[in-house]
Amino acid sequence: MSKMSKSSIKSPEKAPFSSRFLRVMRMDWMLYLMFLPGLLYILIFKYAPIYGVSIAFKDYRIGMSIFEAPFVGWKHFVDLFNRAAFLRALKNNIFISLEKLIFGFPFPIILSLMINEIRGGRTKKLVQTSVILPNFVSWVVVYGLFYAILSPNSGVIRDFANLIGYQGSLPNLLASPSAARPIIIISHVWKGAGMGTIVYLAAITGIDQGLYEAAAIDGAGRWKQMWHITLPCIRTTIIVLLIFRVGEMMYAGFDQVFVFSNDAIVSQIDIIDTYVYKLGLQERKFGLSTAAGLFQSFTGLILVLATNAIAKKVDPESGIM
Amino acid sequence: MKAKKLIALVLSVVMVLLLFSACGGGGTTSTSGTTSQNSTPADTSTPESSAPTQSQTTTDDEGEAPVITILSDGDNTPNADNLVVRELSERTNTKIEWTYVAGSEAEEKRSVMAAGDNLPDLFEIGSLSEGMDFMNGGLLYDLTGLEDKAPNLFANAADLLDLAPANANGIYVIPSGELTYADNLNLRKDWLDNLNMAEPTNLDELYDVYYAFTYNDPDGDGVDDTFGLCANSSIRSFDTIFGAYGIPIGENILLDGTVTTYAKHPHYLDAIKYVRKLMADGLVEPDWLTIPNMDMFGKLWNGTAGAIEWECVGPTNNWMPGRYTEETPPEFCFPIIEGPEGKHGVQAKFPSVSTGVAISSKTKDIDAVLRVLDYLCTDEGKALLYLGVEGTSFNWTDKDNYQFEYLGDYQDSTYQRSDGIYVYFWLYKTKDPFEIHTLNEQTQEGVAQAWDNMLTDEAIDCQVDIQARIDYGSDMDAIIDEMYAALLTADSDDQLQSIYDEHISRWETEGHGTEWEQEITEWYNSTK
Repeated sequence: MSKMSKSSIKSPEKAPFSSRFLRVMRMDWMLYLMFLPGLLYILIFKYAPIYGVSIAFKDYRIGMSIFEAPFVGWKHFVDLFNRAAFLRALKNNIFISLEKLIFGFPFPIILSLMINEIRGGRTKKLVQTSVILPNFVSWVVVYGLFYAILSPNSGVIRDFANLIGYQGSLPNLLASPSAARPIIIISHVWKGAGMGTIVYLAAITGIDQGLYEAAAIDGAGRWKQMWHITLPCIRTTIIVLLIFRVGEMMYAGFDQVFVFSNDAIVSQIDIIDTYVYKLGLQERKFGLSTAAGLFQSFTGLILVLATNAIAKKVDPESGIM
Repeated sequence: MKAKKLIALVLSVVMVLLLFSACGGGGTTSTSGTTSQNSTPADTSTPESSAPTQSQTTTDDEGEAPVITILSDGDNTPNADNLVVRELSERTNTKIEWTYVAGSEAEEKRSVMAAGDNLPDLFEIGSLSEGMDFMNGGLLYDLTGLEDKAPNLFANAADLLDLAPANANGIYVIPSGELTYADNLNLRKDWLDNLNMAEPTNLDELYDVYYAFTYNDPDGDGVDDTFGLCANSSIRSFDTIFGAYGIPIGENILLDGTVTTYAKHPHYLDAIKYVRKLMADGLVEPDWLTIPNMDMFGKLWNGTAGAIEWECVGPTNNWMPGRYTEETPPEFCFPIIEGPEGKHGVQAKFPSVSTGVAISSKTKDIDAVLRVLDYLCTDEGKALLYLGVEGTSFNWTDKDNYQFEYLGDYQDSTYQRSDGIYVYFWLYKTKDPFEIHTLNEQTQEGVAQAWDNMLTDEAIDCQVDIQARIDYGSDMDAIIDEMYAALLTADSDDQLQSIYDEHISRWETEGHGTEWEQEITEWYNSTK
């Protein structure tokens, strides 16, 4: 029966794709026109430069065209992985990224849940603005702030120690190998957490208020409402942001590490980006630095795909693709 | 609706145009109206092809002054439009566009410009590898046969041209042959006088002086707010101390017939122990590892620290008196400190043949570029760079003996530098540095004393292209720097030997130091 009815209904003959496309284009030409600059931007600045990654497989030197540089296959990758300094940077990169993920990722979620529980409108706005502000401070200034606080000679901590009558020496935490990574993580969380809350707060705002009212009638307190309504409702947002964050795992924060680095702690915080900067910009080893960059991007892609697959397995509705 | 469509159309067109203008920027416009990026790659694919051609040497048809782009570095911030650049343009019949960057960023800036095929007409070569890379990449103009166009320039560099490693097949880098300043121990003499102490002559006396500077109220203000020595993370902060142990910091040494790093000197750990004692007793800047350079100087300027190891040109000349905040500017002396074996000295400096100045192979008007460079090598040109314009910023009081006086606002060094005076000389310093004559008497004596005090015999001058150094130079240096910091911050002296051994082993293997030692020793033996 269903077979008959299906065959008996004749679908109207479809126009060729090109003419349908042109018709749509003509109909919404204003929208397509405004889309054009964005498309060109992506093509020119994001896709066209990709041909430059071929430097990773070529013996490119300053002054020669990329096309005429001789092909050397995996030479730069082999050289890179034979360098102890690169392997150290890779190890640091992984540790710092993981620590940032473990401590930095949940923090904005907790912060947004806490901000959401603030009832006074003005107080809420004040807190929101206060936690977002550090995001707009450059890492150079952030380092200046940390230096002004932690300097054993002229920092706030020194002043406080003097105030309470302690005249002894203080450790220089900015030059302490054991304190280096914690300081990197703390400054990362302090600077970035506020900005991360924006997305979560937006997601929380979209939750149906009826759910909270129903839960309240059923006797759920604010903690239970948060646990059983708010968190599940923003789960998809959390997963999407987690996938993005995991995709950035190979980029542990060049600006931050660059300004915080010194000879005493470089062994703890030198990352791939700072090592590549030295190879590429200071020593003009473009092949090696491009190989390192390509390795970072490729690893990032694999991580995104893997996280996405896991997320989809756990919850088929989540994931980014 | 029509208005909306019109706005959409206009906005889209504007955005597309902006996009394309962003893609096409960056070329420096020459006087003929073309951009320097328009040259075909084939023009510069080999060093040989950078020889001057008829089209490259033609000047502007309309008789306008040709635009010459220059990149140099330093630690000042001159105004974009300033007296020196204006006057130089006028005197050389050119239009100079001079880009000035911080010294720490200069080589990176040039690398980026070179990678973008966008080097200026005239720029510094800051290291041996940079000169070799640029020369091999065909980015440098071969000046062979153009000697008569810049007689003063070539007269200064005549005996150096063949020594420059980049000049094996032409003249690509003009070495300055300049002997840079060596370090002095600049010690507050007024504080010594206040404490009734004599100038120290050995390490024990130096310790006593630093101790008194820290704990005996040398400025007599009744407040415990001073310490002995300014320092930062550079080993140069303790140049005199390492010198007292016979160690020429930063240089290569000969050890049992092998050329190696100064860090392998047998007394390296002895010097480290002495510095650690100064640090442990609170006689040195506590923030030494993290303090920014200017903040370190600031401790001297505001009377917190009583000494600094630096070329005396800063403390007794360039910073005097404007930088000092005390009512009476400090007085300095330059003691020479002997070590346990009677040795003394500071890091050796050698006339540089691997650094200098170079001209881009893409330059449009080689005659004009050489004219500018040559003018800077004349006495008149040097006077312009160091003193400004006669009658405007300075007047000679005794020209034959380089006696002069700054005029009006130009007596203030900050004002001088903002108007381009004493700012651009780093582009190319001649062998006979005019700069010395502009220094006050005490500083001239200090400079001469520092040069006499250099550990020249202990150091090996290695301005040569060694493959292991090209491949792993930064890794080698990084390990030595990390070792220095680790040794000075170690919990106790008992740990020093193991830290030292571990880092030296890393330097030899991970840093390919052993490989480099073999190569450079072979080179050294072949040149003996």
